[in-house]
Amino acid sequence: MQRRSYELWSALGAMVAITLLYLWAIARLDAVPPAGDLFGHGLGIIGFFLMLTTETLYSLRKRSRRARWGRMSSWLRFHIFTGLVGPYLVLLHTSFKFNGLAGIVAALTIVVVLSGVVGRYIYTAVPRTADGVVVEAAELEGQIAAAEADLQRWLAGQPEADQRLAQRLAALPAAGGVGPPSVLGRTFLEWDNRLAWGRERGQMAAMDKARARELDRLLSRRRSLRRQVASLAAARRMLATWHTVHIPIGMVLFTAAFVHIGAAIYYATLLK
Amino acid sequence: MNKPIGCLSRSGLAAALLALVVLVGVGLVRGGRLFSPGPLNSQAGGEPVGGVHSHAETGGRCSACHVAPWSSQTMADRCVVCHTNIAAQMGDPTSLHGVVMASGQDQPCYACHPEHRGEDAPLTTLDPGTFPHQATGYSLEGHQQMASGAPFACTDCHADDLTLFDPARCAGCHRGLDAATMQAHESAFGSDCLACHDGLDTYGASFDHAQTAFPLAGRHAPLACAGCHQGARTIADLRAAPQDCVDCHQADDAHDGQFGQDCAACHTPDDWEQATFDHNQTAFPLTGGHAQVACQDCHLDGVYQGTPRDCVACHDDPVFHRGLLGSECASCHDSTAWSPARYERTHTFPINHGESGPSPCRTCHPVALSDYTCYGCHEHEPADIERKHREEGISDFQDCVGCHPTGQKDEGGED
Repeated sequence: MQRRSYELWSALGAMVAITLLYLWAIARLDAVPPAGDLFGHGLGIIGFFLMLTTETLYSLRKRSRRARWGRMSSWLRFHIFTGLVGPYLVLLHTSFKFNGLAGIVAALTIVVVLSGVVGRYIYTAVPRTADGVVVEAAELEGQIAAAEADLQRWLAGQPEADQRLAQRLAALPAAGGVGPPSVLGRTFLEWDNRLAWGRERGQMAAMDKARARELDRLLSRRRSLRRQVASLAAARRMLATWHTVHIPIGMVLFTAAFVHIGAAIYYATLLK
Repeated sequence: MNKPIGCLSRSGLAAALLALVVLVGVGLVRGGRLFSPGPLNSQAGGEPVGGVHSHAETGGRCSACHVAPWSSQTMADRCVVCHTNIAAQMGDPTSLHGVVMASGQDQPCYACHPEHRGEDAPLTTLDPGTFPHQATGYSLEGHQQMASGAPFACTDCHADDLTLFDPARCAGCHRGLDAATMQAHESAFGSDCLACHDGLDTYGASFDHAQTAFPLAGRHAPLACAGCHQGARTIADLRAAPQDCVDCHQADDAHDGQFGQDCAACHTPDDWEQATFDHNQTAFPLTGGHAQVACQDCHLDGVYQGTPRDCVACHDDPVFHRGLLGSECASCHDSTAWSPARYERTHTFPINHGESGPSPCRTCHPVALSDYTCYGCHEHEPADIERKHREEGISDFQDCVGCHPTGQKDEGGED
C-alpha cells in the first residue's frame, strides 16, 4: 500500500498554479474568461484531454499485465492527478455558467470526481502490493501472526512492564467492525482506536519516547492488519459495486462531453 | 488483456448508449435548447421582426440564426432575413452599418451583437479591439489607453447609446489633462471636437512643433495655435498653415511692400527692429560719408523704393560751381568727401603749370569758378605786377590769361 499521497499534493500544487493563471486572466480581461475565447477553450481542451487520459490510461495499464510499463501505483497516482486537475480545468472552462448540455457535463464531471474520491477511499481499504496485486486474506493472517510475534518479542524485552502492558493491550477494543461501515468509517475507527490507546498510555508508567514510538508502531501495524482482514470481503464487494456505478456515470459524462464538443464545434467554432 | 477496460464494459457501453438516446430525445423534443450556451435576449421590441418580438421567441430553432458549417450561407445572411432595415442600412454609407460595411472590415454581425448572454443582456457590445471605429469617421488610434494607462471602454466616451456621442465628453477628459491648453483650444476652435479631429492625430503633450517645417522660434514661440492655424479643421488644414511672413505680417509691414516679401532677408523672428538690411546689396551701396547717414535722410517719409540715386537729388550744386559743372558730381567727387575733388575735364589753363604739381581749385578760384586770380601765388603780388607791366607800357593787365594762356613765365612778353 502507498502511504504517502504525493499525487494529491501534486494535484493541489497544479490547481493552485492554474488558479493563479486564471486570476491573472480575470485581471487582464476584467471579467471571468468566457468559455468560448482562446483562454477558456484552452482550459476546456486541456481539461478534457486530461480526463480522457484519466479514463483510459490507468485502465489499459491495469488490464495489460504483459506490458508492464511502470508500476501500477505510479499509474494510479497519475490517474488520480489527472482525475483531479482535468476536472478542475473543465470547471474553470465553464466560466461558472451551467447552461444546457454544457452545464450537465460540468455537473457530471463534479459527480464523477466525487465518485472517484469515494472509489479511491474504498480502493485503499483493500491491501495491495506495490504492483497493485490484491493481498489475500490468508496472507493477511500470516502478516497478522508475524505482527503479533513482533509485538510479543518486544514485550519480552520489557520485563518490568510486561505484565501490566499485556493486560492493558488485551483490554483494547477490537480493530473495527464488519461490512461497509468498517470500510467507509475506517478512518473514524482508527481515530477511536488511537484515542483508546492514548488513554491507556496515560495510565501507564512513564515510558521513554523511543520505546513508546516502537510500541505504537507495532500496535498500529497489528490493528491495521486486523481491520483489513475484517473488512476485506466487504471492501472488495463495495469496490465492485462502486465500479458498476462509477463507470456508467463516467461513460454518460464522456458521451455528453463528446456531444457538447460536437455541438460547440458546429454552432460556435465553425460559425461563419 | 484479461477483460475490456471499464469504458468498453457492458455497463459502460450501455450507459453511453442510453445517454446518447436521451440526448437525442431531448434534442428532438426541446430543439437546440440543450446546446444553448445561455438564454437568448428576450427584450421585446416594438413591431415584430421576422415574426418574433425577441430572439428568445425563436425558442429552440437554432437554424433561425445558425447555419451549417458546410452551407454557403453565413450567419449574417440569416440576420438580414429578419432585420431588413439593417440590410438597407448596410447599403447606405451615411448610416452606422453602412460605414462599417464600407470600411471593408469583414466583421460578422455577432462580433458586435453577441447573443446567449442572458435575457436582459445588451445585444450590442463593441470591442474596441476589433470594431472598425474608424469607419464611423473617428479612429481610436489615439485613444487606446487613458492617461492612467487603463484601456478605454466604450462607455468612457459613449453614454448608454453607443451610436450617440456627446463632444462634451472630450472636453471633460481633456480639461483634466491640461485645463489651460484646453481652454485656449476651445476658445480658438470651439467645442465641436469632431469637426476637426478624426482620432488619428496624436498631437498633445508630446507634440513638438520644432519637428515640423516651421519651428516656433523667437516671438513665434508663445503664440496661440489659432494665431497661425486660423480656421483649421483637419490635420491637412493644420499642415497647410501659411509659412510665408507676409501671410501673417502683411499688416505689420512698415515698408508698405516696398522691400518685397522676403522679410527674412533682413528680419528674424526675434524682433522686427533688429533688422540686418545690407544696403550694399542694393544698387546704391552706402560708402564713405553715406554710411553714416540716417535712413530717413534719404528715404523721406518712409519711401524706400524709387529713391533717386543722383547726387543732385540730395546735394545742391554749390555756389562755388556757379552752375558751370553740371550735375555729374561723381566725375570729380567721391562719397568719402567733397574735397579733394579730381578735375579731369578740359581746363584751358594748365592746372599743373608750376613746379609744385596740380593746384587745388580754390588756389586760382578763391570765390567761385566763374572768377579767377593769379595773385597770391608765386611771386604774383599786385603792386609788383602793376609795376612790371607799366614799365613795359602795358596798362591793361587785369586779364592775366588773356596774354598768358598757359601761365608760363615768359609767355606774352613778345606780343
